Parts: sequence; C-alpha cells; structure tokens
Amino acid sequence: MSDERVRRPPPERQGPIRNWWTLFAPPAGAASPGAAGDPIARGVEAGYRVIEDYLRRGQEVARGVPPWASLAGMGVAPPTGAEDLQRRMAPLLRMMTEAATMWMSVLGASPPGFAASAPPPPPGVRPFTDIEEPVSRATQPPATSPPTAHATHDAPTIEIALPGPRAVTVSIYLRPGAASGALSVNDLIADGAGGERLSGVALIAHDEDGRVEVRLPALDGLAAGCYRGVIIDAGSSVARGMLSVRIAPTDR
Amino acid sequence: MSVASTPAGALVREVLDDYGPRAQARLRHYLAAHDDPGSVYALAADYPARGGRAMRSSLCMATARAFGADPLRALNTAVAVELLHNAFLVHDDVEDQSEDRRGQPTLHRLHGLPIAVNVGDALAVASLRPLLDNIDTLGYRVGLRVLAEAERMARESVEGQALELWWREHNVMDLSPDDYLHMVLKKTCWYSTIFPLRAGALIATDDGVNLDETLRFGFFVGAAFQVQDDLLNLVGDVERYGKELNGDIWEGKRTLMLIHLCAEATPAERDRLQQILEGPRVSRSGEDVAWVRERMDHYRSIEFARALAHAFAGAARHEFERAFGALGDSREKRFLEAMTRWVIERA
Repeated sequence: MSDERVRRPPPERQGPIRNWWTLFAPPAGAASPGAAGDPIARGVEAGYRVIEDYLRRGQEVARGVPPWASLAGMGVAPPTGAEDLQRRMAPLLRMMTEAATMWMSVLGASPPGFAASAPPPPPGVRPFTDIEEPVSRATQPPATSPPTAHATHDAPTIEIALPGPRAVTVSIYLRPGAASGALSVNDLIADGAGGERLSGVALIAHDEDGRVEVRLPALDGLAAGCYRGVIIDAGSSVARGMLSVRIAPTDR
Repeated sequence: MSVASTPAGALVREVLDDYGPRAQARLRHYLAAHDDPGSVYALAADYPARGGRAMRSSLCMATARAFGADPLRALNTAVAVELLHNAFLVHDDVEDQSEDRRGQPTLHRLHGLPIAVNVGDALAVASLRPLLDNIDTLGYRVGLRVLAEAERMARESVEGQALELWWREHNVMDLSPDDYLHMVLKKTCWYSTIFPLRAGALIATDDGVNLDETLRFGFFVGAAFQVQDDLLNLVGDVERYGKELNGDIWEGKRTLMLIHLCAEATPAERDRLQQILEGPRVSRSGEDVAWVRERMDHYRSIEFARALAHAFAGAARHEFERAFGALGDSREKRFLEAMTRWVIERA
C-alpha cells in the first residue's frame, strides 16, 4: 500500500469566467471560447480598446480649447470643485427663489431609497397637504445591492397626484444612487409637435439627509399635457433619471 | 425559430413597423417635392421604394421617445439619415461593383455608372433639406447642433469607407480585429447607430445630456450589426438577404472572417489568398471564391466571427445600462435594449 495521499488533479480553471460569451447563449455549433486564449475576450477587449482610444482622442481635441486656459495667463485660477458647483447652482437657486410657487420634497434620505414621508416644509412655504404618501422604503431594493443589468426595470417611479383647479401629476424616476450628487433637470417638453416647454423646474439635493427636493414654477398659462424632461448630473450632464409633469385641462 | 418570434425580435419589429412607415412617408415627401419629368429624384426614390427596415430612422425617433420627447421632433433628422443611408448604398454599390441590392439589380447595373453616381449625389444633397428644416421645428441652437452632428457622422462614414477601399486597392493582408473594428466604427457605426442615438437624445433634451454615454453602446451594437451583416453575406438566405451570397469575397472586402482566415492560413495558402484578392472583382473566378469560402469553413472563421458578434452584442447590452439605465421604462427603451439581441438574430 502506498503512503502517498490521494490528491485531486489540479482544476483546469482556477478563477471565474468573466467574459461576454456567457451573457448570451453561444451560437450553435461554435466552439467554447474558454480554450485557446479566449478569442472572444480578446475581441471584446479590442472593441473597448478601439472605442476608448477614439474617445480619448476626442477628449484631447476638446482639451485643445479649455474654457479656463485663456484666463490662466491673466492670473485667474480655474474654479475648484466646490466653487464650480456653487457657480453652477447659483442661477438655479436664484431662479427657484424667484419662480417657485409650489414645492415638493419627494426623495428619501439614503440613496437609492426614497423617504417614507416628506420632511416638513421650510418656513414661509405652504406645502401641499394632500400629497400622496410616497412609496415605502421597504419596497425599495436594498441600498447595498449593486446596479445590475436589469436594475432599472425594478427601480421605482414616484408618482404624486396634486388635485386642484388644474390637477397635476408629477412622476419622478431616479436611478438608484443618483440622489447623492448635484442634479438638475432639463426643460420639460410637452408631447406633441408644438413641444411647449415647462422651464424652471429645479432639483435640490440635500447632502445632509440625502433628500432631493423638486420645485416647480407656476404652471399658470401652460397648456394641458404631459411634460417630460431628463434629470442630469449637474457636473457631467450624464442622465440620472426622468421627471414628468402631467397637467390636466383647466375645466376638469 | 424566426427572429420575429423571439421577444426581442417581436418588439424590434413592432417599433420598426411603427416608426419606419412614418419616416418613409416623410422621405417620399422630400423626394416628391422635386418630381419633375426626367428628374433625378424619380431614380433617387428607387432604393427607398425597394423596402428596407428603416432601422436608422426608427432608432433616432425611438431614442427621442425614450428620452421623453415626442418622436416626431426627431422625424426630420430621421429622414435625413435615411436619405444619406440610401446615398451611401448607391455609391457603395458602385465602389464595390455589387450586383444586387434589396433583391433587385443595383442602380448602376440598371442605369449605368454616371447616372448612378449622380443619383447618389442627389440623395446626399436631399438629406440636407430636412436638417435645415430642423431650424423651424427645433430652433437655431438645437437645429445647428444636429447639423454639426450630421456633418461629423458623414465625415466619419466616408473616412471609414476610404479606409476599407484603401485596404482593397492596396491588397492589405496584415489586418487585425482592431483594424477591422476601427474601420467599422467609422464606416458603419456612426451613421447606422451612433448618430441616430445621439441625435435622438440631443433633440429630446435640447442638447442637455452627455452624448458620449451613447457612443459605446452605439459602437458595440453597430459592430455586432456589421459582423452579422458580413455573416449573412456568406450563410444567409439569399431571398431574405437581398444581395448575392459570397458577394463580399467576390468584392475582396476585408471582413472579420477574411481577416481571421489571413491570420490562420499557412504561408502557401496566404500567398494564394493574396493572389486571389489582387485586382478587381472581374479578376476573380468562381473557383477562387469557392476556395476562399472553403478555407473559411476549414479554419472556422465563420464561427469565430459569429462568436465575436455575440460578444459585441453582450458588450452592447452592458453599455445599454450605462447609456439608458437612467431613463424610465418605456417601450422605446426596451426596444433599444432589444436591439442588442436583434442585431445578431436577424436573418
């Protein structure tokens, strides 16, 4: 009898398979790419190499005309991140101060969840007392779950109906995690060829508790219809969500 | 199982059937506006009248809708890209000496080279009018932004075509998948997917979102689309494909399969391949084409390309999330997602 211990042969694979092959079923009759240096992974890497190089060259061209370069020689320093944010937010805040006649605070304390109830209104601002209860935090995906390929299909849309002489329904969809950054919203554009605009909608992210406040301007004079706009990251202009305001006809 | 019977295929077909006819009707309006007897525009209407999926125009309008806008705001731009697409087809057929287009003889075979080239020019020029009409519907700022995007798209496309023609003209053999993808990015992706996506997002948001987010998605969808197109040229159903099978080999096109074959072939085979690809289409015989096709089978070049098409579709699916994940659910958003599967399922 041999003293040598029985050992399993070393496994062929010692790490997870991470390639695009597994995302879709492989084409019929095709060999698995796991062997022979994984040409699939190399192909996708080549794709990313080409497109990233393309983007990099585009960025270099864009950097050829930096907005602050012309001021650098005059002793004007580029703004810091905080100053830049303040600069970006200033007109937004000013506009809101001037135009806001209604407010809503709909989003919750910690991304990606939403608050179970709206916080108290700031002094001097009359809240709508009949705002429907936002979606419970318990229905939201856990904050620790990473965004997956299908995450957005499950992400919540908050809808708030505001009855009155002109019933208004506000729907907001915000990508999980988006509430933590500075946000703004593009002009909302109405359905239809005319494309009437709803300007002056503002979003204010409250870093201290993670709330995002939505402020709408006066809606007087706006035609009935559904106005939609994209919520963007204020710094990068990357889309973060959507906001729509549906205004019922006056005689409703 | 036909592509339309899969969920992705059915959704894509539904959206194409919805938006495509609107774009085609508007396209006919632009061509009919100059429909005098003997007008070049009667011939310009030939290729569009032969059918086609109107994928590019539908993609543009659906993207605008996915971003929350009325898709009709993107109609002029959608028509412009469709007109330019047909202009490219006419000129490509001349440059490639192609025989058939959408199941019928190519325009230069029907009417001769000078007329075909002029018809292509007319279609390209006609694509400017709807872009100018955007000024009325979108305003100067957004209208000019779309025009600038269209100029970039057209420039990228002709540069990509120039690259491919150069390879064929100089019988370049030492190409890599990187070279191929660089060419496809410019020649195919920009006008087939990237521009329609960017223009739709730009129009919907008044130039309010970062368009670079759509670039990667458009690239991978477009690359998968092009590789699948090249595959259909070898293994497709000629009735549905509408072009001659093995036409790309006849034309000496540097497809992913040919590049793979060049890399896998023995030195002697490579020499023969180089000889076959030297010269114009008429210099190649049916025996030459059959040999190239057989060697592709031998080295499994088709399986290689098909696997890469799937991989690019997977990468597109990943990039979809980055580009459109923030948008609320809509049929059009699901259509954009379904495109990633449809491009490799279509026959």
